[in-house]
Amino acid sequence: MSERVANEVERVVLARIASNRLVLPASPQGATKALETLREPNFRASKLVQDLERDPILAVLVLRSASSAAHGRPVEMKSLDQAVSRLGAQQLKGIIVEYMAHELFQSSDRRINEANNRVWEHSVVVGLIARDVAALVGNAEPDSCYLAGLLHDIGKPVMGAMLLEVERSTSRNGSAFISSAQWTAIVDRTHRRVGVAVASEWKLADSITSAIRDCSDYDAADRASAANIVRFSNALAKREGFGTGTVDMSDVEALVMVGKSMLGADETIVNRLVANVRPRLQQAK
Amino acid sequence: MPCILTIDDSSTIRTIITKQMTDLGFEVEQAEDGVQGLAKLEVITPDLILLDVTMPVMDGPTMLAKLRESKNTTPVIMLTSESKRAIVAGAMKLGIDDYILKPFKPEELRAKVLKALRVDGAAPSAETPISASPVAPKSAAPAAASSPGLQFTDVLLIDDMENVHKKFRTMLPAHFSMSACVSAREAIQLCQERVYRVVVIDMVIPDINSVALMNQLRALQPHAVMVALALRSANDTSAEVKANGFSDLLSKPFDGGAIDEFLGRHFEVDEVLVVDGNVLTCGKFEGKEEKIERYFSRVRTLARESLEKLASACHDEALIDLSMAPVRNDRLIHLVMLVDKECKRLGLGLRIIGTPDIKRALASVTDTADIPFFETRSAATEAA
Repeated sequence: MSERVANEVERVVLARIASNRLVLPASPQGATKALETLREPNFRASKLVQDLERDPILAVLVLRSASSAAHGRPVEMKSLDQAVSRLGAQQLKGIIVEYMAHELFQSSDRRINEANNRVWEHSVVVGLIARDVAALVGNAEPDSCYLAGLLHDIGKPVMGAMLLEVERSTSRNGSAFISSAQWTAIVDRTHRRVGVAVASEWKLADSITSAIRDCSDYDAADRASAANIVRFSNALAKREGFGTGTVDMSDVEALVMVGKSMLGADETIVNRLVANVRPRLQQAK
Repeated sequence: MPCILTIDDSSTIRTIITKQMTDLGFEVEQAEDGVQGLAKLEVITPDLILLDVTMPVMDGPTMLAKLRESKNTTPVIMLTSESKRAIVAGAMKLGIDDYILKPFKPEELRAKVLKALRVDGAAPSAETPISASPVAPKSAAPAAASSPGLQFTDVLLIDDMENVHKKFRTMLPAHFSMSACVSAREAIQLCQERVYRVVVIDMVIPDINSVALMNQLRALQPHAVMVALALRSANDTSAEVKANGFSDLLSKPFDGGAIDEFLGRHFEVDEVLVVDGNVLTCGKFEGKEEKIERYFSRVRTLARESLEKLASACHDEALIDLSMAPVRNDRLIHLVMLVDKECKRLGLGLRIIGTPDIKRALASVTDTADIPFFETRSAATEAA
């Protein structure tokens, strides 16, 4: 019975993606508006500030980020205007997308939330490594690679939320409508396509969408592409113990071995890239 | 002489490999496919096999499986344009030592072959462009310092304003080497080409996250000290920059005293004062005349610290070699008076080594005239 339900749920999700009818979880309105404003070629800072003010959490995040030493000498930001002009469009986009992504990882269900936290932690590590690898191999957009790494599994929490909704609306007596193995299998089979749908909804750069979509094998035609960098970083993160679910280590080792030659990284530099990833993850939290 | 068997259906690839490997002094045998490769192995025993994946007659993985079935454990490097992880994972299970993706760079082939053969000199730095592994400054890792092809430079300054580069350059002693750049990309390139002792990163560069850049550069320069450069502020920001992973904070506009402190913290000040046993040798002064007071100030500070250490190490006497010190009578006399006072306080004897000019200068002042003076170190040592 549950096998049939699982197949049906998967079929419905994939059909909706194919016909562009997949209803994604609502993103925070202020963030969505702010992202739209930032896409305008000559956006007005005052309009952007208005958008940010709609979402107090995002506003605080922008203020805190602009005040931090990571963006220059630590300065107390007294207004959003000041923070917006200090950060600039590129960094603001990154902060907003990261915030929207993080929101998708929040769930009221304890089980889902725990699983999402593990995926989020993995994603942050992949993003951090990807940004460094990008800079070292000459990819022109290390910050895009960071976002691509951060978002490469964005379809997972979205699928988790969808399955939870189906479960709540169909199951009786709180019993699970499919087994947890089936749940995981559906997420694994669909999350890339769902992730691409999210990236497309958020109108993210092609390089980011491609990194989410093509995460299984390297593309030798464009060695230093964001997608290749994310694949390599994903494998390194898993090798360092930041995987989610069951990790096939022979698969991971093969990806690392190919990635090293693909991107021109030797073991020494790989070790340095991952050496301080744990404290950096703590810092990012 | 180690022998390498290259198995590839492309005669061009076989020729390139043969040329590179014979240049390294290896013997090379060739085969066009897996069947020919296995046949070759009947008559030769190579030290390493370079194996393509896609070949007619018998492909690489099939040949590798047969090789391992026959208990042949010769190291194999897969050299292929195939990047599918399933194929590589399968080959790894059969036992490959490494993998090279075509087209490949000569240095990658060279490094991986040397590594597989465990030939001495297979420095990781030779592997690939981004792996042009930085080596440590002399003081940090002497073994690494012998790696060829990388230049040592004292300081890398990354700041988007070139005026800051100029100003910083004038504050450093003349013999210090310095690179400067305005962008993250230039910084990364410089860090791939050179070895730096200290990397100074401005905290406000448009469109650059300085903390992220520092982490990237740290991967290339693991031994370099990462220093944040920030505008002088009323608040103490050093704790914050350190929490972000920097080792130190330097403020601008630059201040001579702060730069001296900075140099003292991060550089061997061997040019100013070298301590060898109980002999303190003042170094040469090579800067502009207006910096002479900074030189003497630094020597005085270091001399005090060094004398404390000599006393702690139970030396009876200190020898101060002023032969290379700049002859500036007032300042030299002041220095010697201070050293003499410190030695008396610590219960150390004192002998001075220097040129006749210095001897004359010291003899002209009552406080220093009686301090034992020698024109050579050997004379001072013999008299001890």
